[in-house]
Amino acid sequence: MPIKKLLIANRGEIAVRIIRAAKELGIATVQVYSKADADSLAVKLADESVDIGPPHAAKSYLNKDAIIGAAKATGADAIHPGYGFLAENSEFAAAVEAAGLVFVGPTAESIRLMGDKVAAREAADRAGVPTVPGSKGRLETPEEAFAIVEKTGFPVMIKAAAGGGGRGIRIAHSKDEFAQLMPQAQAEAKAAFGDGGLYVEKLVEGARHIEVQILGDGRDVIHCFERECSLQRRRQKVWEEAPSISLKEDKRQEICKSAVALAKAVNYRGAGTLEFLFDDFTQDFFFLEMNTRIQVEHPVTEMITGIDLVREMILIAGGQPLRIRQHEVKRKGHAIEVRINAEDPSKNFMPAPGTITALGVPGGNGVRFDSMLYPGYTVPPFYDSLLGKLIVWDEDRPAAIRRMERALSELHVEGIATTKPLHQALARDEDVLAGRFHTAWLEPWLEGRAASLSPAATAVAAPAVVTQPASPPAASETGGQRPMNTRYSFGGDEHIFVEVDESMSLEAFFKSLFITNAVRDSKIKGVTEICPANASFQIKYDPDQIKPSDMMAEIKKLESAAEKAEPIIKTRIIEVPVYYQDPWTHETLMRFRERHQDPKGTDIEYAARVNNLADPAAFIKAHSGAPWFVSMVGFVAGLPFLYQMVDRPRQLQVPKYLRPRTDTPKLTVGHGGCFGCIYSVRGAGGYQMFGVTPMPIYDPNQQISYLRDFMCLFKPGDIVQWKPISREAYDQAVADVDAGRFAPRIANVTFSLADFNRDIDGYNRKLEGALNGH
Amino acid sequence: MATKQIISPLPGTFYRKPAPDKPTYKNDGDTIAVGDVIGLIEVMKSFNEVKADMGGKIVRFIAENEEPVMAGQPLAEIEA
Repeated sequence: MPIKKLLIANRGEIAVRIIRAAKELGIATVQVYSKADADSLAVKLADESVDIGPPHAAKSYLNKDAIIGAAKATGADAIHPGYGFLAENSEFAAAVEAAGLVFVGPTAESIRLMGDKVAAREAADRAGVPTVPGSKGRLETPEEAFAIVEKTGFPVMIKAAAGGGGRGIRIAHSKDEFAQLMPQAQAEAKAAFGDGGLYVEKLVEGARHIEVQILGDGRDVIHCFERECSLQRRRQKVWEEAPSISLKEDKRQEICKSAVALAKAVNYRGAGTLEFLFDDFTQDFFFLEMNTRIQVEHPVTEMITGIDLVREMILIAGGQPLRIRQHEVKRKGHAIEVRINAEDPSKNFMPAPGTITALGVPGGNGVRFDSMLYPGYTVPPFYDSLLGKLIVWDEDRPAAIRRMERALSELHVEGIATTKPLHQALARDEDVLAGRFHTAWLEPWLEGRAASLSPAATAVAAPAVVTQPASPPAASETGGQRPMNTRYSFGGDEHIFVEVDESMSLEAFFKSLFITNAVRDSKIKGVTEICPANASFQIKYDPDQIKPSDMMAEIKKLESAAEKAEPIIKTRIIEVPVYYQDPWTHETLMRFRERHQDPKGTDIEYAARVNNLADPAAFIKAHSGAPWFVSMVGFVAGLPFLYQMVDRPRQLQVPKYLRPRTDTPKLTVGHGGCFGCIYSVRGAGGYQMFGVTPMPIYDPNQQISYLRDFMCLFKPGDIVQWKPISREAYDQAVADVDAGRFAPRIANVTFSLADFNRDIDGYNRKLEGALNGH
Repeated sequence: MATKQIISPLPGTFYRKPAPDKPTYKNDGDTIAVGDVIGLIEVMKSFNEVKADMGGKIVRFIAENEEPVMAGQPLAEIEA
């Protein structure tokens, strides 16, 4: 019976992919989600969504009862498991069917059979599909094992029958090593999987990973050609393509036919993939294993065949026989997919969860981006690092690689590190261009290349398409650890604009401050205005008094001097009382709810959530718990931009509103990207609103006692310490201001960046102490 | 006696045991030295050890096993 309502028991980009396919078929969608995924794109796109538990996958996406319960509660008649999580769990498939629901995938029996490595090998042997030389079945005794390796020769792999994902695999290069490793492997398999069953396989070195996509309806099976996924790191695929450059047509037919034979032998239903090792020297291929689910890299097959695999698997699950016959499956051109992960390739692929402050998505002919990202989305730390897949198609492989390079140059994910630099380097690599690689090629290639794969090192051009430009610039993950990349530009013949670094950091701010101070002190003739701004500054000069090229030379000279200066400044710490969650910003934020990421909550609730804080109280504690640097004054007169003085991972980051407001109350305490601010006057704005201060910071009439000498309170380099206050204290302070009694609490301090970096929290406590006369 | 906190260096899932079937690394009341592993933080499927940056006695664990934590969140209270 055709499916009417489909529940998606997965998350991330594959959940989005499945929802899209279901919508196109006129099928209603239900997205289950963990607490960490309440803001996910899949939840936004689905017709309905159900909270199934805490972030930890074991309590949500692996919770069979919660998922089946959600299907029952919403009246869904089918469950799509995606990949990972419960996709290849035969008990789950059986439980779904026992509950009277359709499992979009093979039968529980097929999953069980193909999930057992030994049983799958035996099935392959029966279907006449070649397998890697090794044991025919599981080995229980060392004697059996020795008899096998006598025949296969070395090196061999010892694998746990119940293992997977590379776990429990050992490699022996000689008989002695084998004798030593075999009992260890057995004990380990018993401990790890509760099953000491092992099998032994010849290690095929320098082989390629080739896999065949198949579709079956339980009776008939077709193949949709192969994919090659030889570029792997730690057995995780990085770059996938179709067709394989290494297969000649007769070999391609042979591999694809054997895949169909094996899938038919097990009456396979749904989409599946048979993985093979291919030795391009001997032209031998060996069946490795079958994945009984849709795979991450399925789009490359879709791009060369025009078949929508997810649509077909849903139709098959709804009871339709295969709609496509084998002779109708044609391939055309070449497709490549790269995985965009939240990992920093310059730091040993360190995971990089965090908030996407701005996003630019590639487009144009033959380009597809399957992803879960949107501007303002916070990538949670609880699941795998896949953010999306960039897929390109073109008429042949060289054209497809050029198109991939072009598409990558248009991809801008701001706020977190991604693997984009890795793919840019691969797309330019001669061996990749020539197709000279195998499954063990990438890891040695990465050795020694880390530095060249940092997000900054590969930033080729300015962002072309940024859907939500983050201004002021968002923090990147690289603090001040690397050399700064200073960029000078002329603004007509009256201005010079200097970007001290590509991203904001205290180091960049200080360098900018020192250069501007040096410009002021040097009294260069013709300079009329000096304006430091976060990690940049602008100098205005009179071109009748100094030539633009001479002005530029003067500034560059001062840059090297500023670099040598020790970053110590005499400055002030100023206490700013804040009435958080006040009624006035609340009234305003409610008026502009449709422009906000979270139309149902408040700004501070959203800010708490995207920073993984339990509630607004925890957010206020984090916000007011450390001082902030005034890194720039401007935008409107007297408005300070504030940069939180804690280490990068602890900095609060909140994206701006999706569309700016036309109103913001005077003296609102706001936040956008990594910057805080105080709105000096009422006006338009896009920063999140957390509260108000009773303390005026700008007075053009210069009537307020502490603003008589100069109309703005703040200057760059000042330090702000927030002080949470109650409604009563707020009213009292307002009355004091009106009566001319209010005096801000200000203390003079010396700030040393080096001392600060040595002990951030201790140094901040000292600064705060200065306010109390310590 | 001053109590101090061990802070989570990363966002992720906090584990107090090396594996589900293993005992906890440390318990309330244990004495620890600088460098002792007190738990794991799982970030996007990679596991990172949390080491004590001070010695002393564990007054109590503030974060529970398998609790989602953010960077900067206190994990345990230490009497130095």
